[in-house]
Amino acid sequence: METVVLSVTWAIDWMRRTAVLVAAHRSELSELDRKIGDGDHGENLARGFAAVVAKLDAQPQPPALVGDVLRTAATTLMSTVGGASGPLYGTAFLRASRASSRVELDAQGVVVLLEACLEGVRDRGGAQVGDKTMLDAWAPAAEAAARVAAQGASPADVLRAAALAAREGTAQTAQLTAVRGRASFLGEASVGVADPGAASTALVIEAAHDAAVAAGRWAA
Amino acid sequence: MTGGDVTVGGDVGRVAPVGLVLVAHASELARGAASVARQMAPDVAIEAVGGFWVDGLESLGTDVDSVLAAVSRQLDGGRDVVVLGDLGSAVLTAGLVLELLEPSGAARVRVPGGPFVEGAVAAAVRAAGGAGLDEVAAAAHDAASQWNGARTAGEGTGAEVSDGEIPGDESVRVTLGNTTGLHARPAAVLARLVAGFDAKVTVNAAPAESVFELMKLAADGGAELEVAAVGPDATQAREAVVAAIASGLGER
Repeated sequence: METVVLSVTWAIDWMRRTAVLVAAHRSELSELDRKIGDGDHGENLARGFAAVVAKLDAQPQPPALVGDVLRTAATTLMSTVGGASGPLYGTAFLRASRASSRVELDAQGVVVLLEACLEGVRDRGGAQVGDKTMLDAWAPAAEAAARVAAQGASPADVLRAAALAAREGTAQTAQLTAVRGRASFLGEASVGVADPGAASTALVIEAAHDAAVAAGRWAA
Repeated sequence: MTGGDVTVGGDVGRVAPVGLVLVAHASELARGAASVARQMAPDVAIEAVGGFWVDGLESLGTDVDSVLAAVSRQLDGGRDVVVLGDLGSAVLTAGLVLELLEPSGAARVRVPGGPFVEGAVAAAVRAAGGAGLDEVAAAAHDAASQWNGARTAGEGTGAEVSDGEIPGDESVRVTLGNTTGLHARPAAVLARLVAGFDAKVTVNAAPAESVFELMKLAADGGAELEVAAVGPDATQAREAVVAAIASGLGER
């Protein structure tokens, strides 16, 4: 497991697994969004990642670099996801693609990728940690990834730590009051409901981990 | 719209160097805001982009590709661009478009943030006067200040105009010649008029280049207004403004 690096095949599998996972949680995400937003987050993301998979499938040759896969994801999400999550995920994957212009990623490469996503979401949305946004999942995920990678963990274990931290961060958003986006109009009434953007972020990172575990099985 | 005829100092028929792209969650909203802004500033290139299309049907949202295309059309036309959005995600979309543009193009685009309709009108009027990119962006952004409280007509006095402190700084009193008062359209006419002069003009101490500052005066028809000007063209500007106010700014 320790020797496994993540390839272009992993990146494509990550997108496929994200599409499946988001589609499976479509109603749950939209239900969270109905309570504190406009109720379309699950539908929008499911449509977006399905389009990403279709776009990747339609490419005659597999992309050469991990970043190429992520760039396809970025541009497709921008064009197919309405609402705030389109530009946010679009920017996250665009920055990640620039940070991953490589054939394969080691553990440190995974950290760089997650930090690029975090930076993209922060720059685009202008939110801070604690504002009850998807940043509350990306930030702990990137932090946990860097911590575990520094201890010499494998890429899969780095993603495992990131996915758990993102899920924990999402759970904590339920305690927070929204100060960004349409949920902010609800103020205190937003307390008690987890942020749908954080919840979908946790799924995206979970899919990255699942794909890394699968890559390890194939390599073994 | 009579503004086109009334424009003095601006080049009627020439397209302003700064264009607008209005981004809304619904195409009706974007088109409506563009119509309101165009009425005030017919010589400004305004693109309306609204809604998000899924399988040929419009749903609520904003579309990065359409916004990018609209901004690119403005840039290709040689115009700098101010982009305004209606709700948070429209502004996010605009920010992403900036990131997707070549740096040379992005340097000619501003996303100032501000109230959608008021910002569009303020920016359009400022652009119609030939203002530069940052000035037009500031007009959109500062349009939010109109909710900070209305000035009242007559509040400004000759004393505020500080007689003689700055060369050319003399004030003239004039009676507003239309019946409906200094509402949006005549305020826009006035703002565009002063933009054509190299002078700083105030009406009851409100900066005359700002359509919203003028509207905040809440001056009714027949109100007595104090016009002051400083700068190289002060005398001509003041005379033109006084004449325009007296004649009702294109209205009776």
